Formats: sequence, structure tokens, C-alpha cells
Amino acid sequence: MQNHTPILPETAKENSDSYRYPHRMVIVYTLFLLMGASIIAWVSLQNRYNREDDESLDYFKEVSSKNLSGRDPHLDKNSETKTNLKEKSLGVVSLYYPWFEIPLPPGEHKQVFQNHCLVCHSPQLVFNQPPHLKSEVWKGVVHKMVANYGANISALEEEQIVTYLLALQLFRDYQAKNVP
Amino acid sequence: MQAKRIDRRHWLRQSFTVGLRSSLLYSGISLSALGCKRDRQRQENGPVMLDNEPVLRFPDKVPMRVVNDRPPCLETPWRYYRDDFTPNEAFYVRWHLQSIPTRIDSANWRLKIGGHVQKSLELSLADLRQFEVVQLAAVNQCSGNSRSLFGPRVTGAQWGNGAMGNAMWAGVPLKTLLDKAGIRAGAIDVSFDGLDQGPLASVPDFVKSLPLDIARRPEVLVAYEMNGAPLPILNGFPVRLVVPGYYATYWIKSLSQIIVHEQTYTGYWMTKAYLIPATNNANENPDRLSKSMIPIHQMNVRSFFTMPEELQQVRKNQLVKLAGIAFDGGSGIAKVEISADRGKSWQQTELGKNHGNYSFRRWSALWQNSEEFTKLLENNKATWLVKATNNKGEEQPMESIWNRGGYMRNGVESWSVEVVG
Ligand code: HEC
Repeated sequence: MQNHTPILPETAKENSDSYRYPHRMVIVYTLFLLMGASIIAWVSLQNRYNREDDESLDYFKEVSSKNLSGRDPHLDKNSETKTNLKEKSLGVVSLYYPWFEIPLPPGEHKQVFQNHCLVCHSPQLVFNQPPHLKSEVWKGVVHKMVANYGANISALEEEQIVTYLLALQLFRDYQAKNVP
Repeated sequence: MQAKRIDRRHWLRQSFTVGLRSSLLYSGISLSALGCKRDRQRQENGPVMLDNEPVLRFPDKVPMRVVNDRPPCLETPWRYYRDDFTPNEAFYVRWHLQSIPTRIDSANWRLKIGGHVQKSLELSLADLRQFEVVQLAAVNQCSGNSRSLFGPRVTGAQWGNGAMGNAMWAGVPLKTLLDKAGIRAGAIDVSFDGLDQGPLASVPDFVKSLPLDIARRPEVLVAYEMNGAPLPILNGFPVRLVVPGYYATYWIKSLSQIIVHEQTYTGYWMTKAYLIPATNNANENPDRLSKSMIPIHQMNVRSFFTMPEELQQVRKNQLVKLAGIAFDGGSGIAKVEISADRGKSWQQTELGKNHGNYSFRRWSALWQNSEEFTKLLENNKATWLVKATNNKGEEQPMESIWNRGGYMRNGVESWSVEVVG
């Protein structure tokens, strides 16, 4: 009654698998873990391979500052493209180039800017204009887009865009101060 | 399986682009200015920023400063000017309109020549190669090179000094093609159009023109080779116009149509854009803008330092080798002088190999510190000036010019090193 679990005789105890081979389960678990780890490693290596494999990503590849002071280590790869180009000089030459997706800082009339100023060129062209431009200068730029290039922007929207552009200066100032 | 793979790639690309997006925050304005630490970490995986500007590698190019990504405007890294010829991979890129050519089938490509001619022509690349080839070294410099250095600053593509390059161009003289088409009496102007287009119909197509007498100059080429290789597509594959001595705005890339006119061509990019004040060296006063404006044309004389590295350390008694480049609009470089005392006295430099009047001309000089010079050191910084004079006797102004368009900057350049020990 008191002893539900039968007390195994010494010999039986010794014969039980887990008693005789206490490491076996550890080994099995370890094997499981190893398998898991290698699957993860394989998957991530695959991903990595895919990245390098993917030509379109090639152009986004980071450049270390070291590379900027010596010959570009990617040039070897480049010369390959060059020979291709030569062979292709009577074939098809194509270009895939990166576009930036620059999130627009929040601000009044951001939506108006977004609707009208990303149509013909990157906001990069707008954002790297000289700092602290006077509002007349921005007014002139925005109106030039309408008068010279046919941007479909109403007079009210022109004003709203100028407001947004002037507010952007605050971000630039903040960034200049705070981003190393 | 295949489909899955593609999906995953697609997803990877997307997530990578998202990473890029956040890293590119740094290209101008940054949400991370709000103090988002994650963005800062992500930046480490993104492109390297120089002076807060993205440096990226475009197809067939070395990593270059991205003045604009769409359409691409890329600046040549300074060290490439240590060669007399700027490698194609590092040659600056400047497009105006968003729809740049991204796929060119050279077999079907044709150059059309028409207008006021006896016989319109449609020439294939193979046809162009039938004509006798002319080779010529010439500097291609953007009208707005150095615009970001103007004071007061002006709007436009914000170039440093790297919107220029020297290449060995090979192609057919334009004159040969015009003669083949047969220019009719009364023709005075020739316009050039490339494959690029405005994103909307309302954006004027990028077309430039030259007076017939300029277009017929023997050195004006329709070039299909640049430094011995086909032109990179970003530099105007399959052919571009080469107008030695003239600013690059006339060197139409991916040239596709040439039209001979009886009247002066008056398109937007000739009469509204790329205008300079009709004054001496295109100079004007910000407070009193010139009333008379003319299309930009011939380059003025310039020179630069390329050696040693700027702000490099040199020993007090070290013999320093200074070197650089000089060029002008085609008369050729007569002399290049340097000054160690801010222009009081000038020392002549030695000129390098002459590749022709339109090319970069290398200059070099040896310089040793002197007692007087030590007195001139400011914070241990030694500063030199460089000034070129062309064969017409024109020299660079000590003070840079200014004009509203940010064109033709050519003032004397200065260069500093740190003197130690
Ligand atoms: C209809 C097309 C179009 C739209 C829409 C447009 N732009 Fe432009 N923008 C251009 C063209 C074309 C250029 C000239 C590009 C060049 O010379 O490389 C330009 C140039 C610029 C420049 C460079 C400075 C200059 O004067 O050339 C700035 C800044 C600019 N745009 C800002 C804006 C802003 C802000 C908006 C929104 C109001 C806008 N753009 C909308 C076509 C457009």
C-alpha cells in the first residue's frame, strides 16, 4: 500500500536502459539540437547566398569607408560587366538602378508635397538644396515646376508646399546637431 | 519550390529595401532626428554617408556620391583625378529627365539625321563604325560643376568639384555625317536629342542645339567609345555627342536624333535653362542681376590640386610633391602657377604630358618649407593656391565669380596640408 512503486531488484535496475546508458538521452537531445541548429544555419546561409546572388541587390551593397580610399574591390566584378558590355555592344544593354525611398518627415501639408513633388524626380533633389533658403526662393522653385515643367499644382497648393519646405529646415537643423 | 524561392527572394528584396529606406533617411532629412535608436543601428548596414550624403554603387560604377538618385546624378570621387583619364567606372553621371534609357537594343538602334538636309539618314551602330574613326582626348565638365561652393548658394543640382572628367573619345566627326546627309543652303542651327524623356508630356524634352559653324568643327564627334570601351549606359550608350571645349550640357547622351534648322532652335533648354549673364566670365551681382542672358557655351580655364591628399600631414622640412590638373575651353594650358603666400608671389610648375588642347593637363611642383613660409602657417596649416593661364592669356580669377544659375565657377583653388614636427 505504502509502496506503490515496486522496488526493482538491483539487477533489474541496472538492466533498465536509462539507468545503464544515462547519456543516451543527452546524446539524442544533442543530436536534435544540432539538427535544428544546422537547419537554421543552412537557411540563413541560403538567404545570404541569395542576397549575393541577386544582382539587383548588388548595387545596394554597402561600401566600407576603407573602400573609399583605395581602389574599389568590386571592380573585378565590374570588369566582368565591362566585357559583357563589349560583347553586347551589338546586343541589348540594360540598366537597373536603385531608387531611394526617402520617408518624408511629418509636417503640415506633407500630403500635398507627397502628391505633387515626387512625380518627376526624387525628393533627394529637393532635400539636398542649400540650407536656409528664403521663402521667396522656395516659392520661385515651386512655381518653376508649374510654369516651366507643367506640374499640376494650384496656387493654394503651391503655398502649402512652401510651408512644408520651410518647416523641413527644422529637421535639417536638428539632424545637423544630433546625428554624428 | 521554385515559386517559393522567388517569393522568398522577393520578400528579402523588399525587406532589404526597407532597411535601405531607413538608412537613406540620412541622405537629407532624418526621422531618426526624433531620436530613434533603431534607425541609427540600421544605418550601419546601409550605404556609407559622406558629409551626410549617400555614396552608392550604380551599375558599372564605383561607389559615388549620389547628388540625385532619380534621375541619377553621381559625382566622381576626387582621387580618380590623379589619372590623366577618368575611368569610365568613375566618370560622373548627370541626367535631367526621369525617363532615362534603361534598355537599348543596339541592333535596332538608329541615329536619325533630318531637317534641312538633302537626304535624311538613319544610321545603325554598324553604319557609324564604317566611317573613319577619330580619337580625341577631351574634358567633359558639367556647367554646374562646383555649384554647391557658390556664395551665396544657389538652387540646382548640388555638385562639388567632381562633375567633370577627361576621356579618350572615339567616333565619327559630326561633320562627316552632316555632309553625308547634305546640308541645304540656308541652314544655320543643328539640334540634338537623346533617348531620355520627361516623365510627363508637359516637361520639355532635353534637346540642345549648336550653331552650324560650331557643329561643323572637325573635333565635334558622335562618339561610340570612351577610353577604349563602349560608353556605360549611364554615360550615354550607345553614342553621345562630344563637343570639345564646350560645357557638357551640349554633349547629348544616348543621341538619337539630329535636326538641321533654317531658324535658330528655340527649345526650352536653349532659351530658358542653361543661361549665363552676357558679362565678362559670366559674373553678376546677386543684388543687381544682369538683364542680358545668353546660352552657356565655351568652358573657362580651371585648375585643381590632386596631390598630396588634402589636410595630409607633412614634416616641417619635407620635400612635398604637389600635383594637379588644369584645362580650358580648347586653347590649351600655357602655364600653371602655385603660390605659398596667398597670391603675393607665384612659382611656375612643370606641365605633364600633352594629350591635346581639350584634355586635362597635369601639373606638378616640388615644394620645400622655408622660414618665411613657417611664419604664414595658421594652426600649423600650410595653404597653397593654384592658378592656370590658357594660351589666350586668360587666367583664373582670384575671387570666384557668381551667377544665379551656379555655372562656370573657376576661381583660384586653395589646398591645405598640416605641417608637423
Ligand atoms: C512636372 C514634373 C515636375 C514636378 C511635378 C516637380 N518637378 Fe521639380 N524639377 C523638374 C525638372 C524637369 C527639374 C530640372 C531637373 C534638372 O535640371 O536636372 C526639376 C528640378 C527641381 C529642383 C532643383 C532646382 C532647380 O531649380 O532646378 C528642385 C529643388 C525641385 N525640382 C523641387 C520640386 C518641388 C518642391 C516640387 C513639388 C512642388 C517639384 N519639384 C515638382 C520637374 C518637376
